[in-house]
Amino acid sequence: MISENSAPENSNNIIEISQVSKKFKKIPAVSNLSLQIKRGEIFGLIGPDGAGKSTLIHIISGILKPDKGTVSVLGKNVLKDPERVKCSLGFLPQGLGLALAQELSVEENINYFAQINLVDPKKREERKAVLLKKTQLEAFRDRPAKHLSGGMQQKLALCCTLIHEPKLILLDEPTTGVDPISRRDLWLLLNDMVETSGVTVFLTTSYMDEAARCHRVALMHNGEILEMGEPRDGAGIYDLFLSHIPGAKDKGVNKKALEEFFQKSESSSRPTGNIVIKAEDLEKKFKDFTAVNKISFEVKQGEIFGFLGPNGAGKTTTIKMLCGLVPPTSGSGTIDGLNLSREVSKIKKSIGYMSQRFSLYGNLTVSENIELYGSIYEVGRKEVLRRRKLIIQIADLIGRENTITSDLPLGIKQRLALGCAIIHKPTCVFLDEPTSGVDPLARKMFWEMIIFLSRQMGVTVLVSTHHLDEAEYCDKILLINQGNIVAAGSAKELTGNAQAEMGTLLELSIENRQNAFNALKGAFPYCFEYGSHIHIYSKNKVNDLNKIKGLLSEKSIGLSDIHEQAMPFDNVFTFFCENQKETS
Amino acid sequence: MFSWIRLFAVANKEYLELKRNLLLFLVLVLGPIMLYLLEAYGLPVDVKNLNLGVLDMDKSAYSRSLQDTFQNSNIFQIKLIASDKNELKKGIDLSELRAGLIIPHDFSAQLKRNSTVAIQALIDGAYPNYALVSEGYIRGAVNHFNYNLLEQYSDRYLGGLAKIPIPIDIKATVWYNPTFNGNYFMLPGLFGLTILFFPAIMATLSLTKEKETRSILNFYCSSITKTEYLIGKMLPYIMIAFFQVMLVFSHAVLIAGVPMRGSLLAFLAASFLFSISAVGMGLFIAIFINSQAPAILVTTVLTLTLTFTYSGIITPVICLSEDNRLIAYLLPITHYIDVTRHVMIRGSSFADMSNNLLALFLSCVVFFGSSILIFKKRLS
Repeated sequence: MISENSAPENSNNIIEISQVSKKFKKIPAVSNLSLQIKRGEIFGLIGPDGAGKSTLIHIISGILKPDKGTVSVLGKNVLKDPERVKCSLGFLPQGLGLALAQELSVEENINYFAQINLVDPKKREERKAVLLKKTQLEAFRDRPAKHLSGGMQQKLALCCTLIHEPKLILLDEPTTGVDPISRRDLWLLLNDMVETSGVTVFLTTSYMDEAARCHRVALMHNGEILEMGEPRDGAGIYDLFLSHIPGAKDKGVNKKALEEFFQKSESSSRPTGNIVIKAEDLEKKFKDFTAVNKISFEVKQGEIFGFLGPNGAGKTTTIKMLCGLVPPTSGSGTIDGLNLSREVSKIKKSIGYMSQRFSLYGNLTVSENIELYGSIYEVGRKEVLRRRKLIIQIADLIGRENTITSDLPLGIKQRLALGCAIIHKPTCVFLDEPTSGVDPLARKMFWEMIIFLSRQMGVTVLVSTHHLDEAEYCDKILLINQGNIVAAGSAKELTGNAQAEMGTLLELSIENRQNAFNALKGAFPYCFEYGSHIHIYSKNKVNDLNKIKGLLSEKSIGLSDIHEQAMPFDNVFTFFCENQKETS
Repeated sequence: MFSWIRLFAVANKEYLELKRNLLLFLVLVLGPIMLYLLEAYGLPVDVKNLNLGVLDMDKSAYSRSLQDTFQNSNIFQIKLIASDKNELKKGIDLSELRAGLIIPHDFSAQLKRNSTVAIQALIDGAYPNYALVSEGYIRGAVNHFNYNLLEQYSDRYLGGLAKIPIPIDIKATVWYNPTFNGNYFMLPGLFGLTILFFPAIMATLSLTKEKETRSILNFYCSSITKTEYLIGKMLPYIMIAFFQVMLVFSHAVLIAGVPMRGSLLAFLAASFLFSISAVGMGLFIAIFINSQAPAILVTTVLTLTLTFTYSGIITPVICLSEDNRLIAYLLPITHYIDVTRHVMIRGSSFADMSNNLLALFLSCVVFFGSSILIFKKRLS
């Protein structure tokens, strides 16, 4: 192998970026950026859409040439000779399942990546066995990638990038669109790989709670790094995010325009408390697979009703049944008093629906999209033009009326999509993962729109999401797993129930985190690594505190801090989903 | 740095993905065969049984004898005996007749008076090919009829004392295809189309699809070289194209009865080189185009139109103008069709075809070489 550069082997920095700039059509994507990443680090890059995160990852991986500056990875100049770095690199491009050959089975995918990296077949089999075991994909060896859930696909993709034992892996939004349980598994795998093989991880993410799991986080905006350091918790990073992005705090949704929009709407004048959405034993079977297993629930007028659950839990199918897009196998339901099986065409007129992946026509301009939806829902021409003006104000798109929709950042696209979904002033709206992959700032504005619709305008909102921090916006939450309801209630109630079972959360700050984790993990049922901290759930705080201190002093590990912490909602989520697995 | 392992890993992945996408696989494998069969049985190349209308105003033994001359050929069949001029005109206008013959009412009278009589031939010129053949055949038939009349005159007036000799008599020997079997010409020509169209499009799609979904980033970031990636990706399509030409070749020889008279080695070599070249052309297009729909359109236009216009598949290259002949020989398919026709029908040897084979080889080098050179492992 090539190893003429011997000096950097001693160096602690895996990535050295100095004064790098890159412009696209005169718009700067990365401006004069310098950054060092240490060996064995999990480094997270956060920032709003269009901050330049992907551009930076592409520059590091050697597939994009910056206009200025130098980048060295593993001691080699990436700009001069990118090919020499690529053999010790693992790269996961943005987009669910994009790294995989969809028609190939789990095993074939791994073999392919091993072959193209010239991994010795014997070594490959050993490593494959380890990776499949750690990702719990063993049972699915022969399943084609296209039949795996999003979370499993990303786990497999991670196996593929790790099969040749790279020294550095670059992950571009690896968990976007992945459910919380799979995300936790992915993080366990990442932590494990860093510990066992010393790989360095550089990733971008739009989940704040994930940023908290990194050893070090940088906040990027307009091509620059604004803030960098050890993360504390998701909420702290979120505040940081808002405080650093100029105008983020006071940037809110245009409430006046929204009010004017719904001015003459009936829904605001109707008394609240009516049941708008009612599902009774709704069931959907695809051949012998039960996607939704006889679920029943009610949503009152003006409520924000959250659908939470892993990929493939049946959220989308349920929403599609309620919108009249998929006929239920059995069971019944009403929307605004209209029968789901008999009055589908009437239902379609009184609801707004935003689908998971597709709801706007990418080749049309902003105005054209709004007008198109207006005519689909038979809003009169004159009225469409009036509402178009307001929707553009609401979605904060003034000056971008004639932009081609596919050129807009995802967060803005989703606001526009919501605008299009309410153009006919529906009594209730169904939003299927509207904020997946959207940055926190854009999510904040999106949720302001939803909250306003519900609180001020009396619109009923049923929304599914993977962002567990969004659970607190919902009046009521339905947790679904494998087609069954596993928990229902407000975020507070659910957290309370989980806490009663798991105990209170203790957060430990320890210098020697890895050794401490090894010492503690056997002694407690719920013990996790969480960024630079360790989380332990304790039912008997006094006893457990002594137990922790005892175990640590046995190994003579110093404890710098221990305190109680609110239970993150992703833990609540995983608790209920896994409890169901055990009981079923 | 080149590694066969990586190349075959890419090829194997491409093949497996293709094979498991059952619909696409069937279209790819059966499509060209369908195209070949449709063209083989549907494309008319032989001019025969053209519909002829006759307006016989004379209705004599002479005029009937002239009609028989036409009826007895397999070029024409008399479809209509018209009762007046309008009926004949209508037949041609409605495209029911390719040609009309008007025999004047004094036809036999004039002949008996030993003077020249004019008959009128109306020919539908909308299809120049047919018009030319029709006109030629009508002239030939009338000449033949004239000669018989002259013989009768000589018998009658010279008492057979002095036979009038025919000044020139043609003894035509048709080589290679004495029965004028259209399949001999058409089927070897269609082999080229079979290979070119579908494999080129599939090759284009396989690369543009990765560009469109951005899954090509995986390759950009890996240690696979451009050569390994592009050749590996194209390999399955080359093999499929070659397999298909073997299938249609078997059909032509075993079922349609086209002879295989020359060097089988030359034929196989040309087929293999042209499979590479055709896939290479698709690849070359995909290097410049980043999304699937335009790539399909460009490839279709380039393969189908160029093939039908210049390659000699319908109009022999020798019939093209000099400029167009130059274009024709810049296209690999022209050389391939030359080889298939010459080897199968004329019985040409490997050495006879060496120039064409060299041209095909060069086209492979040009398409793959320039694709590999121009393609970059970078985002644009």
